[in-house]
Amino acid sequence: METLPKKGPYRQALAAIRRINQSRIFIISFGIVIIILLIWRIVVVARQTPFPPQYWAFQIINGLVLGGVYALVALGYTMVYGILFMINFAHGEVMMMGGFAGFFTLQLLTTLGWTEGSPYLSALSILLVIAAGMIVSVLTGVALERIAYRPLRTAPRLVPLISAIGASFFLQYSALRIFGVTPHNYRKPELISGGWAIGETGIFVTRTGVFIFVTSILMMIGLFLIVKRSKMGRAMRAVAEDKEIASLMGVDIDKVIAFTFALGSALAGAGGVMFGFHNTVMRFNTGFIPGLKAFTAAVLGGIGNIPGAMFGSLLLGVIEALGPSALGVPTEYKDVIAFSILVLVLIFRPTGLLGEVLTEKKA
Amino acid sequence: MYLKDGIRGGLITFGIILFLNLLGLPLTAESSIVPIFTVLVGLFALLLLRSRAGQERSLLNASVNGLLIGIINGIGLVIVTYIFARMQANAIRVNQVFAQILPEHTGALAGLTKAEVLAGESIWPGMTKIAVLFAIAGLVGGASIRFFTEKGRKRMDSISASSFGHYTVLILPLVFFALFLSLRIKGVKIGGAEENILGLLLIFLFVSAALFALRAARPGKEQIALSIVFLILLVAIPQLTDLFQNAVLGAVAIFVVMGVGLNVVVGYAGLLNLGYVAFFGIGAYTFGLLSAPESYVLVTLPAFNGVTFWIGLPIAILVGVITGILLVIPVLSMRGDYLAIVTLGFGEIIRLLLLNLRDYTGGPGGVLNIPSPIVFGVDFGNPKGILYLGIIFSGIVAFITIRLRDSRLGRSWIALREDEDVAQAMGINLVAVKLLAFATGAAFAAGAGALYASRQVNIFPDNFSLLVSIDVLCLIIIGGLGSIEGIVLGSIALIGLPEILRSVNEYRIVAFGALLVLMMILRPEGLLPSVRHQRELRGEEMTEPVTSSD
Repeated sequence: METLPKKGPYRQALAAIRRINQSRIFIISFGIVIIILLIWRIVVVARQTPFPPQYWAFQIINGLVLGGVYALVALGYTMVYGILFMINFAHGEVMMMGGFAGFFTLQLLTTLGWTEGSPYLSALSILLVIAAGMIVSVLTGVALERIAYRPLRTAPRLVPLISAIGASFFLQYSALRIFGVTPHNYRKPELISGGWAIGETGIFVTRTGVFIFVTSILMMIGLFLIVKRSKMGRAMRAVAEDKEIASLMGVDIDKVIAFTFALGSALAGAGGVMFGFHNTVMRFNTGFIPGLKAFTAAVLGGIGNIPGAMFGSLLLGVIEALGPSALGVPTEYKDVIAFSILVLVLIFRPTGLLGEVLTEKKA
Repeated sequence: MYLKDGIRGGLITFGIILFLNLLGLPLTAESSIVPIFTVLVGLFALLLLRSRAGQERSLLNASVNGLLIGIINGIGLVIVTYIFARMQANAIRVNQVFAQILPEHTGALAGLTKAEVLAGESIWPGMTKIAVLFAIAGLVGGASIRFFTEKGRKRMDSISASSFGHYTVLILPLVFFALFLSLRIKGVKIGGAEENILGLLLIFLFVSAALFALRAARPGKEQIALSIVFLILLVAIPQLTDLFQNAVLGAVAIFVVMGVGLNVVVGYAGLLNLGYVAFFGIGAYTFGLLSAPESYVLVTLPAFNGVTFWIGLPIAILVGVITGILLVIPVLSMRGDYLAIVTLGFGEIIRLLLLNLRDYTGGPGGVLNIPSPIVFGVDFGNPKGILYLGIIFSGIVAFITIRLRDSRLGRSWIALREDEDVAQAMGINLVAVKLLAFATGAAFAAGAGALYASRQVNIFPDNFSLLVSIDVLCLIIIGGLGSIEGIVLGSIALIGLPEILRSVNEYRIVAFGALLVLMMILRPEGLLPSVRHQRELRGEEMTEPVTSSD
């Protein structure tokens, strides 16, 4: 070692490389290889089977709509994580319960004849369906927090996670028993079926899609205002920052956490109804995979970060819609693509796309 | 006189009774539903009114509150049943919303037949009986609180601490085994048609009691003697059991192997892995593709024909380890929940690949006709043989794990779990240690997968869903994280018991979910915890060094 000169470009470069963690270099090169392979594959597929631009536009619109639904669910994950640092594994089931409540309300209103004919009555019934979904989800979410999570607040992290897994199974299979195995089909009101063709471009936009996207965006704006402007929102941010100090400042921690669950569950309930309108079918396990995806989206955007969850969800929706055709693989691979994107993002930005650098305590 | 507890308890209990109603318990239990609900009301009265530390409830207070709980439940159930009965009599189909609320359901509660309910027959005679029974049950439940006071608890503790209690614990497993043997005597008919279920239950009790006895035995001669006796009995069990019992025990053994592997990753190294099934699936598919006659590998490469169990198994383990390392390298720098979600993603990716790579894995059609393992010319391709292999596998992996735990590597894992940064500062190579933890876990899971493949004969992608990962994680946590005896107990509780409870299979997962939540609240350290974890979760300081028996 002493024989080498102390200075000089070669020596400096060597030292710089040594300073970076060796495993980090390996990981990054691994990621770069994967990205090169992906781009190569996309180019090859694009040259073999060129889709018309309308197709891509249509897929992007689809992706944004699905992303809007994911965002409603992802926000609940991210808010709970931001405050308690736990994965609320049962959040997808909270969404499912909202979806069921919405379904039965819709059935009732259809029998009463509200959903056809008068557009005002129809709009009112859609609002009622969403409200029913939100109310049931809030009740489920708050009960969940009270029974399954609150007694475990000081326990090591694995304990509430297992409790959440248990609650998730409990809710899923209770729903299976109580509501039966037959799939429940959402019947869309006339107001939100059909769609518009945009000019001569050949792009078709469904009314359901527009409705879902607009409602999701409105709800997200509402949430943003609550968190940023209201007193409770300020308390939430304070608790997320530091529970002990917040409680010293007179914030009622239990109340704030219950409120966070209620807020997240309300969005999830709306998400459940949207998912019902989007997928038309509601089953006991409908919440599971979307819940997983929404969590992925929240991690993608940087968990604990509200704009990150919105951005991550929209991005995930678009990637899922475009991925299979861009890579020339069957659509069954869309889940593989979603999870692979998650892994890739975490390799390069372990904190997510918009995430702050979490301290040891939070990570 | 405080009636608040009674009203609160009554509403909670009624919520639970109503939930059980919606789940359709009266439909399943039919005429025995009334006693079941009555006992439940009594039990809840007892549980909800039990005295808290420092304030004993007087007998009068407890009885009155208990009575209140019973009355609230009685009235509530009568009202709900009345509403449903009226709707059904008026031909409103309640079961379009609540699938289990059928006329038979109402009939089971009120003691009527389906036709009588539909005809609008009065439910009052049956429901009045239920209301009176509930009130009595609440009263009795509340009043019997006197038997569960501090004094009574202390008496129980002193019994179990005495030498009499000590030897009872040691002898108990032998009693269960003797009972099991008595079932085998010709002419003795206990349990009738359910004899094999009863036998299985006794074996489970024997194994569980043996684990507790080994824990309670004094180290030294007593422990060694007991271990030898239990080992001999354990080896004898597969000879004494029938086909069904062996099949269930075989599944339990396979899950023990997986549990031990995941325990290394989660329990020792503290790395939460939710995609553990990936390695199980890779092991099973590698083994299956190498040995099944119509598989892709054997059809394209006939040279592989004639791969025996002893060659297929190491290859499966090797492939499992290699994929384990490859999958984990990119996520090594993540910690906590990020790691959990990424591994969960891996588990799903592997399953989806198995499902969609039709040309190689057979897609949804799976790999068929995997030959039975033949070891030294003996065919192990029956439940008994698989059970023996399972016991041998479990023994080997348990031995390896115990030796690893007490080695330098094991101490590094525990240091890693306690605090990653401090561990690194102490000179532990985090990358190597984490990789070794994942590789060990993957190796065990792949071995279990190979055994599973030869047990199942035909394997399908759906055998390797996320549920398996969650099952394994739950069984090591229910048994007690970091404790090998706990894994056996957890595997019996989560894999074995559901087989016994086949008749209530529909409620299995609901009950399982509720139990997980309850367990985490009441006993987070598991049934048979390791000493270290128990202290950690109870918030006690480590005042004395933990012996290696944890």
